[in-house]
Amino acid sequence: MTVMLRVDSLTKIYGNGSTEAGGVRGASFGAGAGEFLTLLGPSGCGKTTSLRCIAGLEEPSGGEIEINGRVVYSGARHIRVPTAARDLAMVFQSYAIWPHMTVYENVAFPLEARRLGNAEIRRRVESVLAMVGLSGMADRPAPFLSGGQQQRVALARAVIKDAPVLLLDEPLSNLDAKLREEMRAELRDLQRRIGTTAVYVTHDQEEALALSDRIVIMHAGSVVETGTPRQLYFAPRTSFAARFIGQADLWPCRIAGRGEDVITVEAPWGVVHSRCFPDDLGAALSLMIRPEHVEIAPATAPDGGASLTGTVARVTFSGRLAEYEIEVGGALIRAQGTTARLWEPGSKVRLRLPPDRCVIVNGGGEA
Amino acid sequence: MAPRSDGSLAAGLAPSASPGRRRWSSVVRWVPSLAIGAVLAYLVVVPIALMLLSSVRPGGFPLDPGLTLGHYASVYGDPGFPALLWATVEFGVGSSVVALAIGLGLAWLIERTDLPARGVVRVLILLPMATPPLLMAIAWAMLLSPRVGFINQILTDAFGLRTAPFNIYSMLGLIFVQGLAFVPTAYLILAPSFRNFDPSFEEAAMTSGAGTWRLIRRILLPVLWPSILSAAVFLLMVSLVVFDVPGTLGTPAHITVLSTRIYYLVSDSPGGIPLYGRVGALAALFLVLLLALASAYHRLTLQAQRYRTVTGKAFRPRAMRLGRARPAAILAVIAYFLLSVAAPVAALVWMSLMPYQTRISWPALRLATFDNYRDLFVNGRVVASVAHSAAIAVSTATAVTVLALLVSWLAVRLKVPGGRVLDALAFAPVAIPGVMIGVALVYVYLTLNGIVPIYGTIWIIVVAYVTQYLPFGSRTMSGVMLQLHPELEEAALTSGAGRVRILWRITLPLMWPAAAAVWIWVAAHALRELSSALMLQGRENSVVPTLLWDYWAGGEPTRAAAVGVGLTLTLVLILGLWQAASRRGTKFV
Repeated sequence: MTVMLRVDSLTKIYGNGSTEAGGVRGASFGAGAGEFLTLLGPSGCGKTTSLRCIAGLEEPSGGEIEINGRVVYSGARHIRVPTAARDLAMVFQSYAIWPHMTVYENVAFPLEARRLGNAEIRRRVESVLAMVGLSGMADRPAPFLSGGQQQRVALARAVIKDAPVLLLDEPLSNLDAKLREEMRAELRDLQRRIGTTAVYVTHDQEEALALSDRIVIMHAGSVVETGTPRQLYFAPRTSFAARFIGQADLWPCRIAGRGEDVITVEAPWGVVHSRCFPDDLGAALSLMIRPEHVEIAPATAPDGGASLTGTVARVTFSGRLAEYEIEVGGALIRAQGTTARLWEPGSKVRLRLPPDRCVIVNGGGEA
Repeated sequence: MAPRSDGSLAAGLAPSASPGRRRWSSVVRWVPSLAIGAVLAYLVVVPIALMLLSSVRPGGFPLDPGLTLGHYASVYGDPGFPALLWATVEFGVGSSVVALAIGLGLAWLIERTDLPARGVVRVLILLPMATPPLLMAIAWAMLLSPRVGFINQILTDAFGLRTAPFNIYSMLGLIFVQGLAFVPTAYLILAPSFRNFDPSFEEAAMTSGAGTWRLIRRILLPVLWPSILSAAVFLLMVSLVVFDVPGTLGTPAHITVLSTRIYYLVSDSPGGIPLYGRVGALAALFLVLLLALASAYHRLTLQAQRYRTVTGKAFRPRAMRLGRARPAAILAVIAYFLLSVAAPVAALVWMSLMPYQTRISWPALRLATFDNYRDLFVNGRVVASVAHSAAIAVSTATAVTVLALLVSWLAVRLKVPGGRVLDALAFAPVAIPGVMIGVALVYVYLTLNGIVPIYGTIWIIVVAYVTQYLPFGSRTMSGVMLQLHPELEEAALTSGAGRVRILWRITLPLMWPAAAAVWIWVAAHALRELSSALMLQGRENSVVPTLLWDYWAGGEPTRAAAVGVGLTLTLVLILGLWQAASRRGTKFV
């Protein structure tokens, strides 16, 4: 896979140089050709700023950015390619559909800026409009579009440039839940079909998991962790990533013994085995257990080596699933189960914690 | 001065390294700011500087030799000065209070209650803007002058009174007319905050058990307070320096305020030579006063924005039921229109149809003639004034629109270095009254007569008006520019368009309706502005308002009335256009 985007030690300091929200402090990541890369993080983590630096809408304070083999920004080498000359297209959070133009004029604009002939423009606009499902809407004035249609026009306008890199800044956040899921699938489809590299910014971890080939998790202007959706869900290496993706209980823990590929750890409520841990174990460690990975069995079930006993303290019933808080050794462990078998408060149960799902992460319990 | 969005377009456009690293490109980046800055400085700073300079020159001209504080001594040591200052404050505060009270009442009735025909009233409320203060003053003099005022005559006849019940030539009369003239301004400042007041604030208060009175006192007024206060300061700023009404009605009443004092120092000085040194010394006080008020105004509007009640969600404001007070409210609105439009315009129309000043009566109707109107088309002086006014209005409106567009684009969008200074410079003339701009330009162009020989021509008036209306233009444009989502232009950048293409294809088309609204507003105001034109009047550059002034002051009220009716009709037409354009102006944002 050829490298299509390379961001190296990107820094953007706002105003007085304080660590103000939204700044970026030495972020590095990259994307290969055709890859769908997502920048994920809470608001103010620097993900949108990074994207805008890639687009050249924001001037970085330092670092280097390379798109399609060409350095477009370098602080050290004084390279600064203006936005219009960069090999990219962008979809904005507000869609930024020009209200004084029709759908056709909006989508044709990037080609017009490239001074193509009218016939060529018409041919390509029509094919792109068909691709996003807006055939026959070409002459509609922009203000007469629904939210979903505006979203499609914005997408069409970006796609028509045929740029190797497509930047998307929270493009689905203004749609309602149902439309969002629909557009999510279409977006992924479209990106695969045209084979462009996508850099996608969102704060919605579910969206990130569903769309991405790879996710870059950002926090306070730095990259915390990078990985595929499955890596980040099953085997996060940091407590921040563990908390940010999915539900997780984190317990401070201490290594009690170490085997070849298994570590025995001591949590506040007992001792478990973990087969999932980072290579670079730090000083402060946490044990991560996702409620959906805790198996509940009757107290009378055989021990099997990796189990604890406890008492069901609270049940939250939501139809398909039931959430439990189970008291084990003075602590409350969260668990989740289907309602095929429902446990009542006060029940004595046995908890199975599979070593593959007991994950040791770097960092304390506090994010 | 205005809240700023991030400077993304600037980053996306400028192909330069960080400032200071590449010396040449940073010089290039300064070029637009310096060019526009020079124009603004020439319009704003130079006149003021020359005026202040002349206030310390013994001869009263900026290039005279010597330094003196004599002018300050003679102005501020004058035994009449405290009375002058007191009259100015009395007039300013009085008329502001009148306008604010009426404006508040109307804004509340129209925006927050179930007053019938609110939509119509909302448009009609702007109608008085078509009768400039000078015309209002003339019309009310026709209605309420103690000897020949129509209303006074009717009342003395009807009740057999010895003396006229009203006298417009009094401080109360001045305050009454100026107050009325300010009402549309007060309304325009106040109405948006009344209109945009989020009803959920009220609903939250009502579900907390608050009644109507508590609601007004504890929720409505405190939230609206910054807007009310900023309207008050703005009105005070204008009323302390306004010329038209005190100029028209003050002289017979022997009431002199700062602005009329300056005018008489220039035009009617005892020795026949304008006392420019003293004028400069007096104007310095203006400047201090207004700068203080302007900074207060600026701080208040910032605060008002922090309280901004627009949530972006569409909502329908809650209309308070007037109930039994409804007939009283309707009567009050009708009374306002009677006083501000119907009565003055009726007086003007009657007067314009008479061959000489005649009291209103059935028999007098037989005298009615269109001679005064016919005169408008054949009298060379009138025709020339109309032509001058039209030329001035078009040039001024165009210049202001282009300058304001450039300033707001550079300062708000491109965030060029020094953009803040440009913005401040374009707003600064708001603190300089027309009389003062007029006087200041006299200094400039008497001094520069060899290089820029426009003294006594219509172009000196254009320069004055451009300076006067620049604040309005740049404020409006910056406001619209700020509301335009920056991503609209960024999307053009990422589409691969260059600077010029973006300006031409995206920014200008989006700004076009706002630009049209500014153009029309400025043209209308350039047609009605009296004070600076009066200060700059020469033989070759009379305009419609100065013609009106000359006819009135020269004892030809019937001709003045005919000119006034013509001016009003023109202004109604233009204001209608402005309304239509402004409505389009908000279409895209």
